[in-house]
Amino acid sequence: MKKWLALSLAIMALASSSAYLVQAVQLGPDYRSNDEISYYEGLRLTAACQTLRPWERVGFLEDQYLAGERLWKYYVSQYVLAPAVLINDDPTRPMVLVNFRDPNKRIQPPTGIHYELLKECGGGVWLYRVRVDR
Amino acid sequence: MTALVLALLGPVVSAVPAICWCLRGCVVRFQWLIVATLAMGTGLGLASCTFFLWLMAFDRLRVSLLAFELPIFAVIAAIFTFALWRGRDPLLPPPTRTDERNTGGGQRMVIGAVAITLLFGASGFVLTLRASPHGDFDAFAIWNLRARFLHRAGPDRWRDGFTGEIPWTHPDYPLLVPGLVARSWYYTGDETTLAPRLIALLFTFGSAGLLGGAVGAMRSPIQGGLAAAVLFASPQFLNIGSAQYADVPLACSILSVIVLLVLEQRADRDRWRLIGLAALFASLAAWTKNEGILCMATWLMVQTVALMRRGGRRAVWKGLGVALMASAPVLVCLVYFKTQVAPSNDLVAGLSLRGIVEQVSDGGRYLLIMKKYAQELITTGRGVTIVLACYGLLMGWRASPGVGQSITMIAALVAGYFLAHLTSYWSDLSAHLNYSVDRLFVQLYPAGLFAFFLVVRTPDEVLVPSDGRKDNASTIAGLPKARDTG
Repeated sequence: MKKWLALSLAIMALASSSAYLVQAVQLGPDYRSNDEISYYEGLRLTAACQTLRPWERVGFLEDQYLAGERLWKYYVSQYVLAPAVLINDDPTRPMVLVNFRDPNKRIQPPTGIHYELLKECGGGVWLYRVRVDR
Repeated sequence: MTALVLALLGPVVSAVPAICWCLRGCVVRFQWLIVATLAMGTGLGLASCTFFLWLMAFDRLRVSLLAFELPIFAVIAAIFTFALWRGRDPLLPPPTRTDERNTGGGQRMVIGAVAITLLFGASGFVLTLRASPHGDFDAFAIWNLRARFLHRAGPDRWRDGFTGEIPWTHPDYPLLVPGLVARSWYYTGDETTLAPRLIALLFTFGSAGLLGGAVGAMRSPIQGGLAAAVLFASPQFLNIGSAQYADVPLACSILSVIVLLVLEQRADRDRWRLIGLAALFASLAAWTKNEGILCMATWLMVQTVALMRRGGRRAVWKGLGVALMASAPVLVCLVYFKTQVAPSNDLVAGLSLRGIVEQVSDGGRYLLIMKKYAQELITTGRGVTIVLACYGLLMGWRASPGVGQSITMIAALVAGYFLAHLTSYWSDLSAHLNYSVDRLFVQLYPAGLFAFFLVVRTPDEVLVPSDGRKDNASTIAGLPKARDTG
C-alpha cells in the first residue's frame, strides 16, 4: 500500500492546484476591487490629485451608504492621493475632500464652519477650502 | 521592464558569491536552487536596507540611488568572490555521487504529478497576480501605500508619511517590502504595478524553490518535489502571496532561517558561516514584519542552546559575535527605523500591566485562541494537515539531525503568536483572531512543511527497501547516518 501513498499525495496536490488554476482563469475585472481602484486612479480622483500638494493634511468626507463601503472609499482615496494625508471624517481641516456617490448631494458644513469651493472634480467629488469661525 | 529586472536582479547576483562562501561544502545536491533562492532573499533584503540607508543619508550626501548602491553591492560581490578564490574552492562544490533509487514507473508518475502541480500552481498564481495589480486590501492600504509615500515624497520628505494621523496604515511596520517596491520605482521612473507583483512572485516562488531544494538535498529529490508541490497546492499560500502581503516574504525568511539552522546542525565545518547567514535572514525577517522580531528571538534562543550543548559558553559567545556582525547592517536600519522614524506599535502601545494580568488570567481567552488555531490547522490548504498527518503515519518517520531544533523553533513561534493574541489590546479577540490567524499560519507553513518532509520517510525508501547503500541524507557533508524508525 505504501507504494501508492506518495502518488496519492501528489495526485491530491495536483487536484488542489487544478482547482486553484480553474478559479484563477475565471477571475473577473472586479476581483479584489481592481476595477474600482483603476477607476479611482484613472478618472475619479485625477482632478483632486492635481490640485492637492504633497503632504497636505486633508479632511475626508463621504456619504454613508453602507457601513463597509464607507471606509473602503476612504482607503482607496488615500491610496490614490498619497502623499497627501487624508483624515477621515474630519470637516475642520484647512482643506476637505468630499467624495459622494450621489453627485447631486451637497455637503452641509457643521455650524461655525464655512466651505469655499476650490475645485469641482465631477462625479460627486469636490475639494473645499475650510474656514472656521473663532 | 529592463530597468525593473536589473534593479531586482543586480543585488541578487551580487549576493551569489556570499551565499556560495557560506554554504561552501555543506550542500552538494540542488546547490543551484538553494544558492539561487538564498541569494534572492539576501539580495532583495539588503537592497531594501541600502534604499533605507540612502533615504537616511540623502540630506548629507545628495547622490543618486544608483551611485550610492552600486559600490556597496560591488564591494560585497568582490569580497566574497575573492574569499572563494583565495580558499581555492569552486564557486559551487562539484556534485558527488547521489543515490536516487530508480524505482521505475511509480516514481515517474509521482514526478509527473509533482511537475504538473507546480506548473498549475505557478500558472494560477500568475493569473491571480495579473487580475489584481494593486494586490488585496492590506497591500493597497498598507504596503503599497507606504511605498507610494516613500516614492512620491522623495528623499527630502519621506519621513512625513510615518504619521500617527493615519494609524490604520500601521506606520510602525518595517520596510522590507515597501522599501523594495519604492526602490524599484526609483529605477523604473514610474509607479508600475509590475514591481510589487514581481517582488511577490519572487518571494512566493523562492519559498517553493528553497523548500524543494532543501528537502531534496537533505532527503531525496522526489521528497523535495513533493514538499514543493504540497506548498503550491495550498490556495491560502498562493492567495496571500498574490495579494502582495508581506506574510509570504516573511515566510520565506523564516524558512531560510530554519533551513540554515538544520544545515548548521549537520555541517562538520564552516559552521560559523551558516550561523552568520541564519542571523542575517533572522534580521531580514524582523525587517519584513513585526512578527519577524519574534523569529529573530526564537532563532537566537534555539541556536544558543545548540551551541551551549556543543561547545559551552565560549562557543555561545563566538556564535553571538558572528550573528551580531552578520546581521548588523539590517539591525542598524531596524533600530533606527523603530526608534527615530516609526511611532510605537499599536499592539505594544495598548498594553498595560493590569490589562495583561486580566487577560492572562482569563481562561476563556485560552480556549478561544486554541479553538481558532485548531480550526485553522484543520481547514488550512483544503485540509492538507489531516492528509499530511495520515500520510506521515502510514509512511513512517525517520530521525533526522537538526529536525529537533527546527520543530522547537516553529513551536516557539506558535507560542509567541499565542501570547500576542492572549495579550491583544483588541476589545474583540475573536475579530483579531479572524483577521490574523490565517496569515500567521501562512508565515509558518513552508517551515512546517520543511520539518515534516525532513522526518517522514521518502518514497524512495518505501518503494525500494534500504539495501545498506550510502544513505540519501549523507549528501549533506558531515551528516551522521539517519536512524530509521519507520
